[in-house]
Amino acid sequence: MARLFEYQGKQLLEEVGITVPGGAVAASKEEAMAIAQAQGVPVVLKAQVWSTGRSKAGGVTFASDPAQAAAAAEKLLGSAIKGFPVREVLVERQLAIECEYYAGIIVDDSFRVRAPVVIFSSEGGVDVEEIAARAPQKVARVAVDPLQGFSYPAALDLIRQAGAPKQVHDALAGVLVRLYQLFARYDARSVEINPLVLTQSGELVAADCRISIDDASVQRHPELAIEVARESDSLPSELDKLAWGIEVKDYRGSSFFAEFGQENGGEPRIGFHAIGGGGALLAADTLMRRGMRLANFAETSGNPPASKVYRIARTILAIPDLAGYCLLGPVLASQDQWHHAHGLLKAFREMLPGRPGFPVVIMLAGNKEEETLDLLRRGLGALPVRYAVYGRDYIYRLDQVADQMKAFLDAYLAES
Amino acid sequence: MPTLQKAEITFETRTGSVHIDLSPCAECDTYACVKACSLYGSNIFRLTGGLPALKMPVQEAGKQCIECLACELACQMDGLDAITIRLPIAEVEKA
Repeated sequence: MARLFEYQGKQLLEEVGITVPGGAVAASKEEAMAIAQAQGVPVVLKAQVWSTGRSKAGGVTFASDPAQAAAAAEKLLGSAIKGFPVREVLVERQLAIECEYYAGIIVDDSFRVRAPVVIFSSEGGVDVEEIAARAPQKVARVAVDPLQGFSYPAALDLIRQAGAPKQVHDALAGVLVRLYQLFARYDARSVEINPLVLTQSGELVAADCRISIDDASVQRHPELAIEVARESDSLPSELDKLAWGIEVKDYRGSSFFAEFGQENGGEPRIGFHAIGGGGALLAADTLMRRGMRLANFAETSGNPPASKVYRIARTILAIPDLAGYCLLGPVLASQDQWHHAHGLLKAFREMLPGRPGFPVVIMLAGNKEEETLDLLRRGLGALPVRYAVYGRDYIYRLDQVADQMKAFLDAYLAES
Repeated sequence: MPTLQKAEITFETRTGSVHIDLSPCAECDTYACVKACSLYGSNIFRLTGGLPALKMPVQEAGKQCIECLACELACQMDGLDAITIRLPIAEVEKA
């Protein structure tokens, strides 16, 4: 699911007619000061990071005048909230809160539902799961037939069920119906307003929101400017964007690439390339249990052409100061593995001649396996690298493969 | 635009391009590229007078090529290193 920042989500809420606090996003203390001045009231500054619990982590601060807002913005910008760097802060007018509600829509893809589910709680401001556990009578939900949509009467039923006061039923129903319009218009996977604040002046305002868009629908919404349509806790790196471009431009097979730990302080890392989702995670765990640090997670499957494998391998090898390359496919893949061999060998032949002793460990199993392993042995044997190749016999002996990678890595690091 | 010239074969593939410098090919007797394309790829090459040639017009060859990259590796390992396949990924190439 591709996430939007809070300020982006609020722009969409405004678009469908849901009131949000006045304010704007700032990338500098000067901008924050100007926004606070424009608001003319006490403001709240919220770090724009894809993380929950910002308030407890120090990512939300209050300011009573523009100078305080500038100082607070300066403190937040460039800091890290739960490990995520803060590049922007949302500066908004403070709300005089009468009470708080929760409104959300998620796609429930469980077998029994397989539909959007609208959830409303007459209590908000904390996790809705927590409210449901503590006071289940306050949380109501209803599955929606996407062909019928979500109607005003259905919203009224939901709100009544959750026990919201009668005088706000109409306004709350209006918010829920508009929220569903947003959900459908942008092919969202989830939209949440928490808290949905009733102010002391009787206005319903979306004080905070979280919106995720269905990955498969991102290409239909260029207006959202989502660079990499995959769930992540942080903004994509330059290599992430590049690898996403490889996938978008070529739908033969599938590829995935995510770069890790860019602020690692020079600790040796290996490039990790896998085949098969569950097996790939198992393989990654097996390496990490031996103290090896992964620079990335990459996966190529679905019978990709060698050209796609090559591009992903080149992307991995472009990570600075890589100390090894490990491709583990601990599955009997139903794809002709020699295309992987050709893609890898092209990348290795271009990138590894200048890296003597560089560790390379590869496990490929599946169609054309013997021919694939022969190709790899021949190709790698012509390069000045340490290498080992494995086939299906080692699918259940991943420990041995990981031990070999560790031995290669230690030897390589001892030399350099 | 794809071109076919006397001393070389060049054609655009779906995401890149294949260039074969035919000048060393007269000395080659492995025909590794032709065999590799037949085994791993879409079999678009044949031998003509001892040199690799396309079985079809270059545009058609570009469409049929599955970018298996086998001809290039085979020529490097068993031939005379006369094939270059360009698969642009500009930002990575700068790295």
